[in-house]
Amino acid sequence: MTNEFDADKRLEELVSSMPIQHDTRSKDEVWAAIKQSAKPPIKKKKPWLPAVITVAALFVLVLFVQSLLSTLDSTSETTMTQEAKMSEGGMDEAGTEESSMSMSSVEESEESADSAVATGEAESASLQLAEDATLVFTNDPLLETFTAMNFSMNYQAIAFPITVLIPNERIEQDFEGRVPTQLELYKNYAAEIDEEALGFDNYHPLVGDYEEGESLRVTLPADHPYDMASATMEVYFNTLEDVFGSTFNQAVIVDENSQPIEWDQVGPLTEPVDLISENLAYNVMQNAIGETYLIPYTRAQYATVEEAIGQLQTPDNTLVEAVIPSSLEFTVEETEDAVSIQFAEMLTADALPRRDMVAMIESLVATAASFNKSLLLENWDTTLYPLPEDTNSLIGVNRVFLQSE
Amino acid sequence: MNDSVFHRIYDSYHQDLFQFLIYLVQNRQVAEDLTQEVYIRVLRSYDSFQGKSSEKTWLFSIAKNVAIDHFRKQNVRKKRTFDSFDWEAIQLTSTDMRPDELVQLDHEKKQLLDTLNECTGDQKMVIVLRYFQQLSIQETADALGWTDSKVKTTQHRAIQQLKKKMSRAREEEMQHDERI
Repeated sequence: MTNEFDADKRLEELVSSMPIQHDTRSKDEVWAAIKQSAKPPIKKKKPWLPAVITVAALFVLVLFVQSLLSTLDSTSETTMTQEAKMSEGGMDEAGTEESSMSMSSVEESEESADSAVATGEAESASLQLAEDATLVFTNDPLLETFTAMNFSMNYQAIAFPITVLIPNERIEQDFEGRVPTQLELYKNYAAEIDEEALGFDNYHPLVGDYEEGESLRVTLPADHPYDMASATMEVYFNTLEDVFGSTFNQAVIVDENSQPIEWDQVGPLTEPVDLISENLAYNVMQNAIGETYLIPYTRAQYATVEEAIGQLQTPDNTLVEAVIPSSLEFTVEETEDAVSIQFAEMLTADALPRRDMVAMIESLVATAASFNKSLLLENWDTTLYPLPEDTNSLIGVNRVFLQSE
Repeated sequence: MNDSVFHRIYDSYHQDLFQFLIYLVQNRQVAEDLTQEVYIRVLRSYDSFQGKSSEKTWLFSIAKNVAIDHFRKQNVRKKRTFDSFDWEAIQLTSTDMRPDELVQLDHEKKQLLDTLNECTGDQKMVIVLRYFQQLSIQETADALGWTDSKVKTTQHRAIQQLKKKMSRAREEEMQHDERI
């Protein structure tokens, strides 16, 4: 016993005596390095990427192009068939993902390359391309087995719009065959969404009572945390927008006496809060675990879709990443219900790493949709992403899957 | 970027943050990069800091997240898979060369660092925060987002684990010496 005690004590002395380590850089050097790091990201090459993976990716590309040349005509009709096929691939994948809740994005291009090389079949590559999509459209085959719920998660005081796909079998079971409203879905499932596991802060379920009416009626208790600072207020209102904006145009927020709530530093909220978010630019931002999500930060509204798309290439702020590389040249044409983007050079898979390609196409779709317009891409390899005919049928961005019970 | 916040945090906590990170990643260059990343995250979210914990433990919790992100990325790069990353259960081992200062440690301290790399991530974090950084149980709990009792249990297990592994390492050394 004494020896055991002595050994513990001696070890504790040893671990307590480790020498102090100093950063030998000056304060100015550190500050300069921070400013440099915080500049808008230049797309970095990945020095760690094994050469074999690069070769493998090229091999897949060759296989894929060969396959396409042998099977596809150059007509748009055939292209639509290919798109439909890829969408089916996405649905198949969803079936296997029901048992876990995960962000369905492929973060590094080499993963898809590896997977495809393993099978050695071009078809596998095309299926892989559909799996890493994170947008949900009205006619998405996934919606035959899942129901979409608009949601929001937050990280470092920034709200990220999310689309949670809930298995229909769960909804049928929980609502006994009835079709629930978005608010009912939220009340039923928000608490079980593990935000921290996905790299976000724990924020839901929201404090207070939420009721349906012509507007969303919110009753907050006196000690609610949402008006502690401008940042907490912004996150809360953006969250309401993301979660309930597709159902309600406005939210009426009252206190427990049904009186307009007294909002710290603002005064009584006598006017309803608008929940409509339009004319936004969707860039990408990383969360705590380094996963990228589409986000309309800073939720600034732009006068034209061209101006918003400009933000995708040269964002106003340093928090989001530019999703369109500065080297990519294109022209934008806008009609009443569509925005057309013509790339100066044929956009092919080798133009960008796979992850960046998906982010760029999805941010263009989401940005156009926030202007209530479809996106038409011209001079691009249509197999890069399974775009539906009408991209303005977008239901939500950043899909995650809720697990089956 | 708010440079007055930076100056204040640098003056108060910089060397502590750096030491925490260098002992975790055991690479000076990586520790410098991660320290910068901590500042960037701090400056971006400083306005939303609610003061629920002390500023110091808030900074360490951000540094912890930055370090975990580093190990997670390292894991992804090594395995090229996106399996779930349970940092508490797996080892947070740096594969890099150690900085000169750590190489020059005496044999026992080097052995301690080696053994620490064989502990689970939660044990390694607790040892670094509690003993290397001299944080209290409460501060460690705040920084890791744990309860006090979880810190105490993990610390106890970590010490037992270190003791066991270091004893075994010593025995192996003695057997090796005898053979020579």
